[in-house]
Amino acid sequence: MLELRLVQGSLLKKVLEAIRELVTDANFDCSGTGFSLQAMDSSHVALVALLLRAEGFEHYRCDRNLSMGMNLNNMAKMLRCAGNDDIITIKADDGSDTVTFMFESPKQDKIADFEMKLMDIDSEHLGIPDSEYQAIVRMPSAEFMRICKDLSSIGDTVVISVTKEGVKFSTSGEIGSANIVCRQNQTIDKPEEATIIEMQEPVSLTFALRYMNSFTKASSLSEQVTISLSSELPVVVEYKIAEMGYIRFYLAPKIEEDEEMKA
Amino acid sequence: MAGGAVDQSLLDLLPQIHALFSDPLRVISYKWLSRNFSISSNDAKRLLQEFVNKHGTNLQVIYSVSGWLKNNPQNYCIKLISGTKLEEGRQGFKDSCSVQIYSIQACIPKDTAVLWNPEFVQAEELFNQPFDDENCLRDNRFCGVLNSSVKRTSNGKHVSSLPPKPLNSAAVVAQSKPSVTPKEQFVTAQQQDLPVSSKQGAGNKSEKDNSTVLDKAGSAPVVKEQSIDAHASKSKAQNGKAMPSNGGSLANMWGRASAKPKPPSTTNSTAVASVAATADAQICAKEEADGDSSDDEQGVKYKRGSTNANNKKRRAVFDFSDDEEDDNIISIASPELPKQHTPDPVIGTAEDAEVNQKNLENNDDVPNNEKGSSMGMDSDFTAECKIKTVNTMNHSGITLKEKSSDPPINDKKQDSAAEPASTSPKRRKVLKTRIDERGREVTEVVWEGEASADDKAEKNVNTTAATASGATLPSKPKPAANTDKSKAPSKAAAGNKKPAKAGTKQGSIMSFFKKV
Repeated sequence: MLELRLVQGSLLKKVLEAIRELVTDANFDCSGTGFSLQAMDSSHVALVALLLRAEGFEHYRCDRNLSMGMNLNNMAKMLRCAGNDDIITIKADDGSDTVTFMFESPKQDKIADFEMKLMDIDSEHLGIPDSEYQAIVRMPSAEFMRICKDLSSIGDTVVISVTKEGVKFSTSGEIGSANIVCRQNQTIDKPEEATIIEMQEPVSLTFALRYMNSFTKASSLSEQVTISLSSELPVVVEYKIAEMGYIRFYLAPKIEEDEEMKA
Repeated sequence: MAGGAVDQSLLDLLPQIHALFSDPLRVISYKWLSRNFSISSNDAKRLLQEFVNKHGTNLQVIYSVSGWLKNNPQNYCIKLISGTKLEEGRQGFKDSCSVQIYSIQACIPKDTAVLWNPEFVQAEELFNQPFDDENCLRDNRFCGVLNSSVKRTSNGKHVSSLPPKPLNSAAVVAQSKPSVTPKEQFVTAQQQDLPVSSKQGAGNKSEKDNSTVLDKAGSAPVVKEQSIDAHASKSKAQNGKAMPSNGGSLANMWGRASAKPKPPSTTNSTAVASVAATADAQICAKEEADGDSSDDEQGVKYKRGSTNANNKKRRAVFDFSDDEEDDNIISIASPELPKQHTPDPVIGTAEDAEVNQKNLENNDDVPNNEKGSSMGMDSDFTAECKIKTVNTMNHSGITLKEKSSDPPINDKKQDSAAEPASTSPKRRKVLKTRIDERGREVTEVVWEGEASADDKAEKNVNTTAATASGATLPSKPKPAANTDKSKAPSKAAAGNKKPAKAGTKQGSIMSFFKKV
């Protein structure tokens, strides 16, 4: 038996909108500690990890660990039927091949049930080690989204370089090139607008803008985004979800090809 | 042939020639001489012959030998052969071959472009003269091949071109006929223009180059005439009257390729003219080839902006090629600069191993020069010119066309059989087309160390270009001409794209995280 009651239902709606473009089918894993998802995109270049901790739900009941395979687009369709202020309850019976989303209007005067079929998904669960990152950039998520959107109109890839001076996003394409530098900016009265760079050593990595743009769909979840960079490691783009969890996107960097390619 | 009786008035020019010759870098070709002193090309050849007879000791002579090859009797061949190899070269021909002086110079230039560059610059100057100025190019008075249907415009108006001279028909016939006749001289002279390019290398490698030249030469005569016409059209364009519509957006977008086709489209005569321009275009291409083509595009853009306003298509092309240097750009506008550029490369090249280059040039360069170089040059007008040439040839009904079209390959093969230059590991010029970071297709002529690989590359480029050209340049009638242009070929671009973009490889997340 599974029953998760999420007062801030819009969070779930936003999560789905954020990841459904990257991943079409995924298993939602429910355990006593929380509601999580890990999935790679079809090309195995990016990975999304979602965690909604049990404490974040008004009511959280999970009798046994459960993995529910869902088509995220179908799930998003159903969640779109929920109002932004609705309370969403996810319910599933043990051994059932369906999941039920219940939407309650704030005034409790309207209750909707949506039952969705589950699917069997062979998921490859990856172990993500905790790593020390050489550079961690925290910046307004809207700013990051804007940068990725702007750069993607110029080029296909973005080079993210972190130095003491700041973080530089640069790209080049057929029409030209672009460089955007964001300096440290700790605004005391508006912490959500701060840009904070914690750097152990300078890093410069290249990523496909297509994925970055997809990640920024999660910008509505959080005012701030945290970009963790380390050479030899995928970048982590993390959006905090209220007080209850996070959504993290991992993206493998583009690797410089050997001389043979250049020759 | 050249050694006929010379008028005393012509002999009076000998001191001037001597003075000109004192410039060690100067190549004095009969054509240049003809235009410079407004004498007929036959007279110019005789003059050169006289000069050689008098001062022949310390100068190098390049002869144009034309006739039917022994090993390929179906192709009328015109080769440029250096004086030292003249006898050797003549043996490849059947009994009656015509030997005429093509040019004299202090030394055989390593870069064959030097041979015709002065002529090109000269032609530019002549066509840049005010419209009302009559000069030898504008009135076509020395052109051996004339087409009555070709009309010449002056002052933006179409004027019936010079009355077709009997020579035209004769020249055409002559080409078709195996026997070399005096009339052919005109044809040969014209043909020589093309061969010259191939022959630059030919000076050293006379035989092979010659054969290749021959094929080209067949086409070349037509080209020359056309080029003249083209010049006329160019002048029109400069006036701003010529086909502004053509000069519009398409031309800009396609750059060189589009720009050229337009002039031909205006009128038949213009088309002919454009064809004629090929020789010049080739020269330009060569010059450009020496420079970086990648820069060209930028320059082209800028120039176009300016050129568009004026509707000067030709200039735009030049700009592209020269754009690397500001000076070059300027030079394009003003014909004089090209001269300066050309001599320098020649000197530098001359120092290089001549023999090796000769071989390379013969095999590779010849094709490159005519097709590849012009194409590679990015000069739109060359491509157009070529296309136009083909068309013009049809219009004029010149028989040469068939020969010219087929011969290049055959000749090459024959020549190569004699001298396997392509396989030899020598430096050669190679046409390379690639996509630069900006996604533009860039064709460059590069000296390659390894012959075989480069040759392959060249072939591929050419073939791809040829195939692609049809698709890319639908407006242009003939793919072959397009082939010359490196830009046009979409296929080549596609092929190149991959390597260009291959700089980075997308890693997989699986290589960082292991399955649980």
